[in-house]
Amino acid sequence: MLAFAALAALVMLGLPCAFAEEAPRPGGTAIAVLGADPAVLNPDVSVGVPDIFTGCILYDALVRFGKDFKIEPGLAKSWEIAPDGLTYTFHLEKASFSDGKPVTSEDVKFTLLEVSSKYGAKFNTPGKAIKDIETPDPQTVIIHLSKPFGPFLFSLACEQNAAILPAHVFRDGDVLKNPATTTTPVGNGPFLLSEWVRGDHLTLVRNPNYWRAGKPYLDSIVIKITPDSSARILALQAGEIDFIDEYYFPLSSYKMFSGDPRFEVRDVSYPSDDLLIFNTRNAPLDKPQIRQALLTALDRDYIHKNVFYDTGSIARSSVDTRIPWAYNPAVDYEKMYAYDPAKAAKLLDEAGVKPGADGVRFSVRLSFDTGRPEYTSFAQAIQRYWQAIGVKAVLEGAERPVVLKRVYADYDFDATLQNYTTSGDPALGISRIYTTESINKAATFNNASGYSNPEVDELFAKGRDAASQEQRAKDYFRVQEILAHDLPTLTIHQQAEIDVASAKLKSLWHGANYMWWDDIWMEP
Amino acid sequence: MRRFLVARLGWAIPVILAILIVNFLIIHIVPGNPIQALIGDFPAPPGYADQVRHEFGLDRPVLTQLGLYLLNLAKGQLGFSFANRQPVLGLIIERAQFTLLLMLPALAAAALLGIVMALAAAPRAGSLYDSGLTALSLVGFSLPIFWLGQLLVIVFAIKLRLLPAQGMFSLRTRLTGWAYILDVGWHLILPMFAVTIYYVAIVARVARASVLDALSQDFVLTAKAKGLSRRHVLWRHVLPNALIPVVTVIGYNFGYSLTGAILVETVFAWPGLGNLFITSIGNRDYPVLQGIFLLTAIAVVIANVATDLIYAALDPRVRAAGFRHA
Repeated sequence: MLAFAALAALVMLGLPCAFAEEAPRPGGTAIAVLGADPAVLNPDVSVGVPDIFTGCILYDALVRFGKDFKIEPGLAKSWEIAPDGLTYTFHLEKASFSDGKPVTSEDVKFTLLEVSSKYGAKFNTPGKAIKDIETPDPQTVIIHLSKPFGPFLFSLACEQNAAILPAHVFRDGDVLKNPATTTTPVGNGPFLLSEWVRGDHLTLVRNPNYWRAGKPYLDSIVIKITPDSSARILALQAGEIDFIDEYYFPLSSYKMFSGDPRFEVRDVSYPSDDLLIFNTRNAPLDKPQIRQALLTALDRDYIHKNVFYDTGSIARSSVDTRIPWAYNPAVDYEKMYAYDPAKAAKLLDEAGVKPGADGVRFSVRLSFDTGRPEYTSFAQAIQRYWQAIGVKAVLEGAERPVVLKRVYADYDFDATLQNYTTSGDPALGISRIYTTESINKAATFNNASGYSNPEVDELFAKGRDAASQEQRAKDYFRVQEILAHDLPTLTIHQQAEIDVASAKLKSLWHGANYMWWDDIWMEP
Repeated sequence: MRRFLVARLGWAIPVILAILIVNFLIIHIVPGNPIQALIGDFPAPPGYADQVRHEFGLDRPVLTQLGLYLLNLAKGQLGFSFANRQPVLGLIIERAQFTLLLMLPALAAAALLGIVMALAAAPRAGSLYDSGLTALSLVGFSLPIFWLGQLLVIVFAIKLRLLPAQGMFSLRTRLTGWAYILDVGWHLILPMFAVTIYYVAIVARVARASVLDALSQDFVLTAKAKGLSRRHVLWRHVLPNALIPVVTVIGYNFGYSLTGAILVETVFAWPGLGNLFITSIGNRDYPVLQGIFLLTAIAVVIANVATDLIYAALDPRVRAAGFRHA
């Protein structure tokens, strides 16, 4: 009682010092779970979640993402950017690889030019912007760009295929077949690989020579491989694992953990969006008015609450509101296209698509991946709302590779549901949905709608190349206004990406999407 | 006998070859390709996709790929896994061990339990015990194994905290020697139980029917008339005759047991071949899938031959016929 009174007094006096963060405790083993083994342990040659998750514990990059994607120092302790946005000078920390060799400017040059640019799908675009790299001394790197590239600094994080690799290990032979890529990494990160039982687990142990003094805190991290999502959830409940990465956490289990004090639940990662992409090659979906009607006919609030379990949020524009500097607040689909079936029907009437004798105006073949847990009910909800305005949605759910072939290689669809990551920047994740240059049958997750608008292309290009964020925002604001009218793709929902961790794990989520594992410690 | 074996194994070669060719074509007809799995959900530049395709020889015509595969197979090479970036043979052998560790004891326990239960029930056909057994085995056979597995985890791992929920060994502590072996045994209990329940139900049903059938034969009447004890009649005369269909069922299931544990391995995150199979389908990892098909085909053939040999050991009539009918 006394203690309670003292506590209450402290709270009332506004003295939170008593509850200040506890000092980190060294030691312990944390168990994280993934759905599949990494294919490679080199985070610069893959974009697979297990590869990046594991690889970015084994390797550091020049910078890393802090909260809200703020760029924080990594192997580069500081940097200067020339006013024209063409020259970046980095000053390196004194760090070493696990074989004892120091991390030098030569490693940075080799990695970015010979590995990241050539084999890293995410670094391909920034890589093309690099003119050359100078290495005046082992601790200084000067990168010259051929043209300004807005998200260049952003592209130098480990998750962007830019972890710094040992040049002396990778210089000779094939990078993809190098043992350091496949089985025996030579890292500079907080943990080292000690064991890999394929299909079961990887054990990473503390790097005793890690360059951040006193870190990491944990003795080891075990990455357990559990392909089945129910099995992962059950193991977390049984206390056998401590952490599930958002990619492997089913949203349907959100409420099971969100109220439980034994767990911490956090919305993290790059914002990603659930899109309804129209094939604008097919009539009548080629008319903006029709697409506006189809958006007006959807009750997004219902979809948010019932399809996505009240997680994430309703989308308001083509740019995710969680990238605040780039989102144009004047664009709001909730106001512009508020749910109104009568208005939607009127728009269709005006566009000249009248109902036939059976009450159907036209049919839309809706393609979606049945492997995504929420997408079947998502498609069914859309079907129901469109039915109310005389549009018949024919649901074409299929296994993922089938859908990818139909949508991206054959253009054999009228509309499709897809989830696209924004990669935290419109130039990296959003422009590909709309620009003409991203219409490409040979690749996936690009502009499947066939929408092509020179003004939009130009604005996305200017936004990418402008040197300052303010200038970039101006171009993105304008492009959102155009897209809000044209709507080749409906951004329906802003997906929540939810990590779940045992409450015993402390100091999580300093990083924007992937953990800063060197910072994490564990209560006994 | 030797001629029989040679003939059976000789037959197996074209069968296995046909299985490989048909499967090779089927998995190449299915939409999707390993490139997508390798690159992930990212719009990789087309040049990059072509480079990976070339790297793994996927830019060649399917029939050329098939020819190369068979040629390599003749040299004893099963190829290289796209997704795991390692030789298929080592990968499959590593995983098959874990599967056998789960399936062999489970099948042996199921066979033994099933036969004992049938021997106890069949002579009392129609009794409460017999009806109970029939009902139980019907339930055991009908329960979806993944559902039973999850139920076992919820009860024994989450509610009672008695047994581990998944995996093959404890990850928080490093164990060696006997402690390690005991730990694996500890992790084996729930998945093995789930597999055993299913197979015990199958074996018990077949064994009960064949014991009942044997009991109605004249030689049983003769044996009883000779004054042999009930136990003697049951174990020496009824059982060997009743075992033939049981051996068929067990042999048949053993052949499939390498991949038959897919659902149980998935529910319990058991790092076996079934788990590898599922992941490889998702990744369209052709060489691994082909390797698993090959191994399964060989296992089925061997199990069938072994079943024939056991027939002969059990049944003098088969021995006398010199396998001619087989």
